[in-house]
Amino acid sequence: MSRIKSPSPTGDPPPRRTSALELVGITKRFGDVTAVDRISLRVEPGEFFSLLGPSGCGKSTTLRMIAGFEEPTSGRLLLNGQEGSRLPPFKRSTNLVFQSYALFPHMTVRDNVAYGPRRSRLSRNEVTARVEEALRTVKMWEFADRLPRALSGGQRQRVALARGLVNRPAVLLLDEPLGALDLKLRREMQIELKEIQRQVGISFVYVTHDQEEALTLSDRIAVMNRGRIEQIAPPEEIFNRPATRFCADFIGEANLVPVEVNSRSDAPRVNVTLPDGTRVMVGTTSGITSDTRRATLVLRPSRISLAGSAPDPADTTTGGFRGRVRRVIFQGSVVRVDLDCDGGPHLSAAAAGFDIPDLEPGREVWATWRIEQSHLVGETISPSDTTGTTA
Amino acid sequence: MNSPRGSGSGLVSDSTNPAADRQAMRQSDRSIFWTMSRRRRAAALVRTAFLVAMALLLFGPIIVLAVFSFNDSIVIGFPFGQPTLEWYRQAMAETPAWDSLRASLQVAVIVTPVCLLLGLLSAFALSRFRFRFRGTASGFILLPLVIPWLLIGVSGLIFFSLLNVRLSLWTVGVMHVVIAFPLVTALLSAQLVRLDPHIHEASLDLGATETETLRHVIVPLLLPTIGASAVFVFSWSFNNFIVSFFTAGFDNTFPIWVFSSLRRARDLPVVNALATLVSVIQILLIVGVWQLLKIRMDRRGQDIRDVVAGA
Repeated sequence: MSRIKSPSPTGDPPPRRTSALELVGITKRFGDVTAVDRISLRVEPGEFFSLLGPSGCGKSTTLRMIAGFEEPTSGRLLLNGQEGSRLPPFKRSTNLVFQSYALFPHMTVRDNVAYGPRRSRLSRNEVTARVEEALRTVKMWEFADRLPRALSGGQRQRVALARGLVNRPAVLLLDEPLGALDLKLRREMQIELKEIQRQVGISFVYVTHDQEEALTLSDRIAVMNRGRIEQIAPPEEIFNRPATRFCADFIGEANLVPVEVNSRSDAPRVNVTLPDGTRVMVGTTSGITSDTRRATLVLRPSRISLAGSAPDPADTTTGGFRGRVRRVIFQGSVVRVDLDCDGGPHLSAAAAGFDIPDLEPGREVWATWRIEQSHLVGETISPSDTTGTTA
Repeated sequence: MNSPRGSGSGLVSDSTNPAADRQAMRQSDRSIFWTMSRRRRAAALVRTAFLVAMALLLFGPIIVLAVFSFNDSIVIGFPFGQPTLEWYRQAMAETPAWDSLRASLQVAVIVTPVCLLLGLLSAFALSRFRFRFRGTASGFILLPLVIPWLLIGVSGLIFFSLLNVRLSLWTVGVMHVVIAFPLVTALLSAQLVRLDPHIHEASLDLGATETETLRHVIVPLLLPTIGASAVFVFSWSFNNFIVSFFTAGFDNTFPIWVFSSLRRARDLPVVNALATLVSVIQILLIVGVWQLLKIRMDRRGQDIRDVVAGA
């Protein structure tokens, strides 16, 4: 899949045809609380789009507005190019898969899935055919005559998915659909969900607070925080070039180092001063203007190497930092080393192994990184979270 | 457990005879009683005595009535005379009684579905929608449950005479609806609150209107509770005396006939016989409906106790 390398400010690909879903400046207030603040986004036909953010960031409210269970305070909502923000849920070409599944407990799997088609007055044969197709898609055809309570959590999830897909909506909305499953089953379902989505070609809008899930599944991700969208971009771009400090912090592990910006003279690369006084170049930047003085350097733990001696000062492709090992944590597939660095910041490095003898607390090491793998965001760290990495 | 058969295989009995197992358990229960400390033995006795006393209080009067309906004396008191079916024979010939029974049945048969419909709609509205004066509406609907029936009866009488409505079985029916439908609202609301709210939303999301949702999702899910409500409403209406008494005018329901007959001592045994007959039929009917619900719910893997008590 070809991804757009130089995104527009919102990360939207250029419009080709009518979007399956378009939100324009959607705002939702509950009393004095603004749950969703002027968000705009566009979901293309056949796209797997995720709304990612911590709980309370407004992603579920956004989803409920798209489904029609909440009315936006202001803004426009277009479904297949048609204004839809005032339509009741039963007149919208959207279907919602609930986290609690919300299957009808008194109906068999077959009747649950047939519920939507029957409401739209399709012929009996058409209903039967569609139900079979949907149940086969999610591999639940053998269970058609069971009641929901005779199914496992994963199976119920599949039925809920089929119940939405069978109506062939413009957009299928999924509200943390895997949230109730255990980790192993969740991983399996993620792969299958992506597979099913590709097969049916329906646009998915997927709400989750699990960044790994969003990265695994999505074509594009909208990162939400406090009712606003911080970044809309494909997964790699979100991970490698986060637009804001929040994005860097929320998606994946990140070392956040406060730095001073020296100059933009040798653009596109920026030169910054680390807390210990060393000057290094950074690879990519977001939100840096010519007046930016203070910024935050984003270093992924997996991109940090450890060395027993200082890097060659003449080598301009590598950045480095001296520090002392605070602790070494064995995490199974990776070893994580936490460091206290000169000038204050704490860094974490993670790798399958480190080629350094006597890697023990107190040992002096150099943390190094290739500068094209460092990223700078134009926001400083608040004093409360200078501790470095967050999970 | 201290099994008298000795070598048990731990938690799982190796016996192929469940009756023998139960026998063994009963024996061990009995032996446990005598191994208990004196204090715990006393406590067990008090508990049993309390249960017996409660049962006597609840069912004693009815049983006394039933027993004396087979006594050949018109005086309710010992010594017990010859057993007889004479009163039942006379009861069969007591036309006014049968007329009043038919009237009570007619009222209950009309009142029950009306109450179910009103109760369903009000419970649905109160638990599913947020609207102005929702709390007030809820309070007003449930108010008749706490107002004394005597007051409701008297105010019904005044209300109808102010409006110049002739008192009849119809006015009785209207008053029965007033006192009984809030009960349905209460029972169904309790059940609706326990449903996953997303089930209602899922139905709307899949293209069903509110009415279709009510018909295809909510009512089927509430069916057992609706059945239980029907039993309650029917017996409230059928057995109600005080409200009927004030609003029946010259018509008689069965409880009113019973009350007026009690004033003639000679008729007492006949009333007894009829009351016994009606009670037995009602009990059989209610037990029958209950069993029907239970069979239906067992098939769906639900517990019948959930229907009325929010377990």
